[in-house]
Amino acid sequence: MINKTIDTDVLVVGGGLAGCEAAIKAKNEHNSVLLVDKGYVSRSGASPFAAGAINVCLPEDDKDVWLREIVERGEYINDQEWVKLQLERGYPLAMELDEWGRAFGHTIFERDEQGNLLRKKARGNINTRTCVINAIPAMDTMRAKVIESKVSLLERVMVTDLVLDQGRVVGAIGLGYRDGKVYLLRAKSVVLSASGCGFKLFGMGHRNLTGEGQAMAYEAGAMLRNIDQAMSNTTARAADNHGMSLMAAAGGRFLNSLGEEFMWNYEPEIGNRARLSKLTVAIAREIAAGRGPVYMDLTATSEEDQKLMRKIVPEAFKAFASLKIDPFKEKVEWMPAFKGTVMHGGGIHIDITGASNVPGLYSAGDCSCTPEHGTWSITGLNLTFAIVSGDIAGRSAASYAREAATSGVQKSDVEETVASRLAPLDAKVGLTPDEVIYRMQKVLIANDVAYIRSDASLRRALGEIESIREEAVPSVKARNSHELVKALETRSMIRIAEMIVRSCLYREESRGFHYRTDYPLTDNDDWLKWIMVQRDEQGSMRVWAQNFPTPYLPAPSGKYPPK
Amino acid sequence: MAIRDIDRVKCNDCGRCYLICPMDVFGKVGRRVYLSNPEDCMPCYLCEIDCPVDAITIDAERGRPIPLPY
Ligand SMILES: Cc1cc2nc3c(=O)[nH]c(=O)nc-3n(C[C@H](O)[C@H](O)[C@H](O)COP(=O)(O)OP(=O)(O)OC[C@H]3O[C@@H](n4cnc5c(N)ncnc54)[C@H](O)[C@@H]3O)c2cc1C
Repeated sequence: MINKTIDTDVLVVGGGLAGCEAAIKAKNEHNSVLLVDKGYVSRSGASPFAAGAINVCLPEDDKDVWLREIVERGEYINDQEWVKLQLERGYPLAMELDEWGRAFGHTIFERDEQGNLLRKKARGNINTRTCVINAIPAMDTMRAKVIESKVSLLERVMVTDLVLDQGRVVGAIGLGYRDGKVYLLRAKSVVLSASGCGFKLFGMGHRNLTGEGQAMAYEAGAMLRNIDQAMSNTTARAADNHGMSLMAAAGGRFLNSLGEEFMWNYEPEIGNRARLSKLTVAIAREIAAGRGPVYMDLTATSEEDQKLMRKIVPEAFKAFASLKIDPFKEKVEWMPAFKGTVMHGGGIHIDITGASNVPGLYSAGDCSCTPEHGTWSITGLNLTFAIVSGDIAGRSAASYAREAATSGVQKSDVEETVASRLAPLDAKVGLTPDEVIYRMQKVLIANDVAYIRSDASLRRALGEIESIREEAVPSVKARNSHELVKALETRSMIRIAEMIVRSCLYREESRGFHYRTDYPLTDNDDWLKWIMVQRDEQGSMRVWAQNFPTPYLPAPSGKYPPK
Repeated sequence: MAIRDIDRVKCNDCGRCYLICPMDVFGKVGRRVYLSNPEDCMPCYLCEIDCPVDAITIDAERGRPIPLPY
């Protein structure tokens, strides 16, 4: 059943910003690196859509002030060592990327007339500021650099499973949905950078991110962390849109049906520039209080900012144009957009070398638990984390591979797994993947599951998810390889859905994106903890809370309304 | 629906849309690109942005219904 076996020293799964950086840094004259992607590297995943905000702490900035702001705004569940690493490594790596861009003829960072990096106060920033990055040129640069670095590229191949040998990760199985081939990819170490699971819900650009990386890590015994922080962005209600951080930076306002700028009630210091975690919960609470609909009002945006926005998020303005809406002339109805574990929202637990708890397995970018963010701190941390974690995980995986023995895993060892992945093609009758996906979406996106939660609503959701997992997902049928991809996506999606609901049930307090009517306070005495998920020996999902170190900024105590 | 057709007069068969589409919306017979899974278009506009001859216009209407939160 395996059509092709490829051997490599380091295998990188997912070529967004994090995976490209990891592949480039893992490659040196002594080793081979294979980068495999479900789509086309530079035009897949969240990276090409990133809306311009990148958090770069410049040499002249006070790192202590930045660390304090990121940790306070992340409600203290950040991994402070990662925050420090990011503040130190972000600038040199961002400038290296800018330099690569120049060499390939692309402008990556926006600069002012004097040639200084353009910096803005955007979503969540109080003392810190964000630089402005052009995402598509950045990804064009990454693709070119991957090729120039002699990293091997394998595209349009969906990785479905990790391969283990005596507890060590020694490769992966990939499904080539265009060439019709099944691949056994044997490696000495693997970096997972395939993002998280967005459940094909609202928002722009992430609908092929369905959690395979996180689900296969779970199956392989990896711990996942802080999935209770499953995240949301926001979007126009009529059409998928984005660009929020820049819009907020340019003076965008959120209004309820009474015309009130309600965000000042939820995040008094910065109002409309509130963190995403506060904004999405606030919109849901305004709606629940009968003050909906909610609008985004950009009518006061300066000419200069209008121009910048059109340049940085061209796809967002194509969406407005298609709806015949000029957002600079009229307010637009807006709503939260649940995104699960894409762009933050928890993921594979990693240490400061990018290593998971499973030997040979590393993770970077959104696939990991995005440890710098805490709940959801300030805008632009994700892109910086993608390059910093890519750099670190890539180097770590390469040095692990140098010492690791080649595994003797054979095609015959994986035949059973491959057969079960191809089974939806053989089913005579069955459900369509789309039907199952819609059912999952309905459970997760409900206001009382995604935003305003309680024990009762989460238990109801868990029951529904278990029944979809047991009855629907195994009955999905695929008529061709395109549908097989979607059928396999339902497997990882249901896994991540279960993790989200179980983690949210476990955290009995409110913090960040997690708001519970039955536990409305942030409770530092009992819940200043990471929520962990792992598969136990019987194959059930184990959830627990774990203490963690706070080496630079002491953790607060007491209970208070979320802040 | 987000993508309905490709302007056949303008299309020069360069295959860029087929190459890049993250959702595998396009198919190819020989050099000719066609819409094999239009209902899976997100839409994300990347094909419209990259098309060298403006043969693709995406509209913002979602290809598939998604349940609303409220
Ligand atoms: C609309 C939007 C706007 C954003 N704006 C900002 C912003 O302004 N600032 C900011 O900091 N962050 C922003 N983000 C978040 C940021 O873009 C991401 O955090 C970052 O790009 C993640 O990079 P990544 O490499 O981890 O993942 P991605 O870029 O998502 O890459 C994942 C890759 O994995 C591949 N893949 C997935 N599954 C598989 C599989 N099974 N097998 C093989 N390959 C697979 C995908 O094809 C993709 O290429 C935004 C995100 C979105 C969606």
